[in-house]
Order: sequence, then C-alpha cells, then structure tokens
Amino acid sequence: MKKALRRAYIALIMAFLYAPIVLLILYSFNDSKSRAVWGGFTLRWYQELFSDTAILSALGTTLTVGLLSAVISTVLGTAGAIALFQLRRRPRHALLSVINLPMLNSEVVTGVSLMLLFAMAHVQLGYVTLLLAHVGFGVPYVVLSVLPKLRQLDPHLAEAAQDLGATPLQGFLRVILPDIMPGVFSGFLMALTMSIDDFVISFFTTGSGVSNLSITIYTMAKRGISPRINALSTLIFLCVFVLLIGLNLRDFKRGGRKKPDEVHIPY
Amino acid sequence: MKKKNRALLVPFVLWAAIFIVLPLLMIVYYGVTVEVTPPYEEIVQADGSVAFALEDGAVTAERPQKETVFSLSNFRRMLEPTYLKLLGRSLKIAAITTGICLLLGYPVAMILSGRDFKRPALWLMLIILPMWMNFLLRTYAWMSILENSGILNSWITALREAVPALDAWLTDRGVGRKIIFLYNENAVILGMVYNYLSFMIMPIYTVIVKIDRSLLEAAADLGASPAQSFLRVTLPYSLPGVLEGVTMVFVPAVTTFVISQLMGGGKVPLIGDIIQNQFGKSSDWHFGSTLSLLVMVVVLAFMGALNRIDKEEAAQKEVRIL
Repeated sequence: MKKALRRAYIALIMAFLYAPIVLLILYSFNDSKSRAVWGGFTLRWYQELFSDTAILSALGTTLTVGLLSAVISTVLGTAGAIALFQLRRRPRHALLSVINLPMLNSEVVTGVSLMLLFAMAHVQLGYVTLLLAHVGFGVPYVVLSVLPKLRQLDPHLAEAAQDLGATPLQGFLRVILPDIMPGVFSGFLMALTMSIDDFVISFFTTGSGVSNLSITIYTMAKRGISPRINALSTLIFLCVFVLLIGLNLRDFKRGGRKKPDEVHIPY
Repeated sequence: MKKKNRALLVPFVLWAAIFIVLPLLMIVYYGVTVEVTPPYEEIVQADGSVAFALEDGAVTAERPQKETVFSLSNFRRMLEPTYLKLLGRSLKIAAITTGICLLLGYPVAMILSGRDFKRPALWLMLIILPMWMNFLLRTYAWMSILENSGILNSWITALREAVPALDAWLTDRGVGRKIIFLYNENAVILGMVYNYLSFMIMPIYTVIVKIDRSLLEAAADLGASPAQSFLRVTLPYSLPGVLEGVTMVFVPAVTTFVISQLMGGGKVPLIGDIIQNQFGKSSDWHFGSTLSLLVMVVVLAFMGALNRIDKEEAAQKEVRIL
C-alpha cells in the first residue's frame, strides 16, 4: 500500500513535469491558430518553421556559437586546469576562487558586467561579443571538470614519459591527455549545453541584429503565442530525448543502481 | 618544465583577469559613479561670442560636457521604498518557490533512492529531461496552457457547455467566462517551481543515495520509529544536499527577469526586471550597476549563511556519532 502511494507520488510529479510538454507537442499538430479548438492534424507549423528565416538564422547562431565557444573553452580550460594544477597551494586556491566567481554570481550580474566590459573596450555588441561571453562562462566548467582528473593522475607518468625521451608536448598528447580525456569531454559537453541553453548572458552581450534561439523565442513569446514555437519545441524536445536516451542506453540495460554522477546528465 | 608552466599560466590568468575580475570591477565603478553635467551659465561676451561660466568662476569657450563623478546617490535611490519593495517581493517569491520545491522535491529524492524502483537512474533522467529543453520554451508551454484563450480555459469552456449545471454554479459564484490564470504572483511562482524543481531533486538525491544504510538499520534495531529515524538520520545526513538544492533554486529565482515577464506579463516586476530595464529602455547603467551590486551582496550573504549552517551541522553530526 505504502509502495503504491510512493509510486503514485512519482507519477504525479512526472505528470506535472511532462503535461505542459505533451500538450505543446499535441498542439504543434493542431490545424487551428487558436488553442481553443482542435482543427485536425497538420504539419503546417513545421513548414512555416522551416521557412522562417529569423528562426533558422537564430538556430545557426546558437549552434555555431555553441560549438565554437565550447571548443575554445575546452582548449583554454584544459590548459588552465593543467597550469592551475602545477601551482603551489596558495596561488592555486586564489585562482580557483576567482574561477568560481561567475558560478556564484547570478546570470544577470555576469551578463551586465560583460556588457559593461565590452562598452568600455568600445567593442560593438554582436556575434563576436556573444562568442566571447560564452567562452567566458564556459571555461570555468571545463576547468572544474578537468581538475579532478588531473588529481587522479599518477605524477610519475609524465616523468617516465620524459625519461623515455618524450618532448613535453608528446608527453602531454600521449600520456596525460588520454587519461584526462573523460574530464575534458564532459567539460566540453557542459560548455556546449550551457551555451546552447543560455539566454540571460546572451541577452546582454549581443546586438546589431544577432540573436540566438533563446533570444528569438523570448521576443516571440513576449509578442504572444505562436504555433511555430510549439513546432520548434517539439523538435528540440525530440532531439534532447534521443540524445539522452542514446547516451544512457547501455547503462539502463544493465539496470544496475547507479550514482547520479555516473549518469550522463549534466544538470 | 617550469618555463612551460608559465606559458600555460599566463594566457589563463589574463583570461580570468579580463573576463572575470575586470567586468566585476566595472560594475563597482559604475555603481559608485554618476554622470552629471556641471552647472554653468551661458554668457555673451563683448565680442558677441558665447562662453560658459562654471560655478567656480572659470570661463570656457566650450559647452561643459557630461562627466562621470564619484557619488553614492544611487545607493540612496536604491534604498527608496519603491526599490526596497521590489527587492522584498523578489525575496518573498524566491523563498516561496524554494519552499515549494523543497516540499515537492525531497520526497521524490527519497523515494527514488529507496527500493521501489528497479531503475532509479532512468527515472532520474526522466526528471532531468525537461530541464534540457530551453527554459524559455518550458515557460512558454505554461503560458500557452494558462493564458486567457489558452488550453485550460478552452477546456473549461467546453466543460461548461457540456454540463450546464456546472456552468450555472460557476456563474453564480461570479466566475467569468475566461478565468485569468496568468499575470499574477502565483503564475510567476508556478513558472519558477516548474523550471527549478529538478535543481532541488538532484543534489538531495545525490546525498541521500550515499547515506550508509547500516545507520538506518541500526536506528531501527535500537527501536526508532520510521519517523524518528527519518528525523535523526536521513534528514541531518541529507542536509548538505538540501542546502545545495536551496542555493540552486533560490539564487536564480531571486534574480530572474524572464519568468516574471512571461508569466507575470510585466505586472509582477522583480529586482531582475528593474536591472534589465536600466540596461535597456531606461538606460541608466550607473543605477543598474548599483542594483547589481545589491543583488550580488544579497546572493553572497545568502550563500554565506547557508555555508555556516552546513558547517555547524557537520560539527554536530560528529558529536552525534561519538
């Protein structure tokens, strides 16, 4: 009985989480502009979505800024993590707390502060500032996911590589990098998802007509409901669903009890 | 090897200085300054040209320009009742949101960490999945359900047409044809709870799942009721997770400006909205920076307080074990 109650509770929470999404998906196929009536099945909104140049260019911006900023953040962050790791305790802790600052701060403050920075440097807000801002908040995620891997590293490995005649670069590429790769990869993923999902910081650091998907959705939603956004949400939800299931499939098949940090869910 | 370290360190430190430290200093700089035009008088000189006399007696041929001067007047403005009320409302809504998320989320974390579900990882993933959708889309989903001509209202209308008795009963009670769900505090709170619930569940689950089961068994062996062992074992040991969850919900809730605009329709402005306004329409970057400083202080103070609770509780726990 108690078990049934507990399951019912989880079911309720699931309903709360998924009902809006399911309705959104249903109404993306509704052949009527108002949600009051069901006008039959249609793919019209999807067609309109794919001919909406504003949405498409925003999608392009989101994807290119996401990938570019994630790659740059990963390179900078990994190099930074290695540099940090080799520092002595005090300076390392000092730098680490600086790196932590953007994560402590609210997004509004980070966004505003970057906007002021670009204004001071007389850089016109646009694609470049957007990219720079995304690199700005992506790097700490990479640093914080690479550092633990470096700590696990056997300190003698790098020395052994050098004794055997490897240049520092070779030693890094052949010995260190393969070992810290999981951390580098999850840092990359974090930076990528944070960039794709970001609205607040982008809002303050972009300009001259450059907008990513979040900003476009924001302006559309403020103007009112459009079935095109329903179609867009449906597609995004499907992508996310397939991606996450794919990443975790093997683990679910095993059915073992896993700690959440072993599940591939950057949250 | 030493030289190579420096080569890696320099760009990194530069990056941190430019993109983390400098922007924050900019906020402080803008926050404690204002732009003023010094008071002056136009005077027509003997040769017919116009000159400008400043208060200190100096005369220049050029019209005095706006200049940035140190001033704490924005701090005084920030303490005006209008802004204090806004901050109060932001804190209240964030606190209610955090409370609801904790009440809803804690049982979820507890149940999933128990033995009821064969694949807790799968269920956990399903709970996180909606978070992967852009949060604007999630908020938008609720808008389309709750707005005046939205899904919920259209269902209620259909139901009323189908059941005349219900319609009459509702009309008697003064319920209009369209029920207004959006554009009030409750709608904003709903939007926040929906968006931030997972942020509460995840950290609590992470901690609860690691609690040593033998502790719970020992409590039961020593005659503790389930309620007692929850209060004396599970709850104290899950506290770090609760505190992290509270931070992860409270901080974005207190500073958001999107959810309040979309769900509140501009009728429930929060402190974040005012900051956004200062950098957009009203364009007073100085006052906006002062408000940002206020938000920073509030957030840091909040986290500091939580940190303290965590430390004190950790010390107590050791005593309890001994």
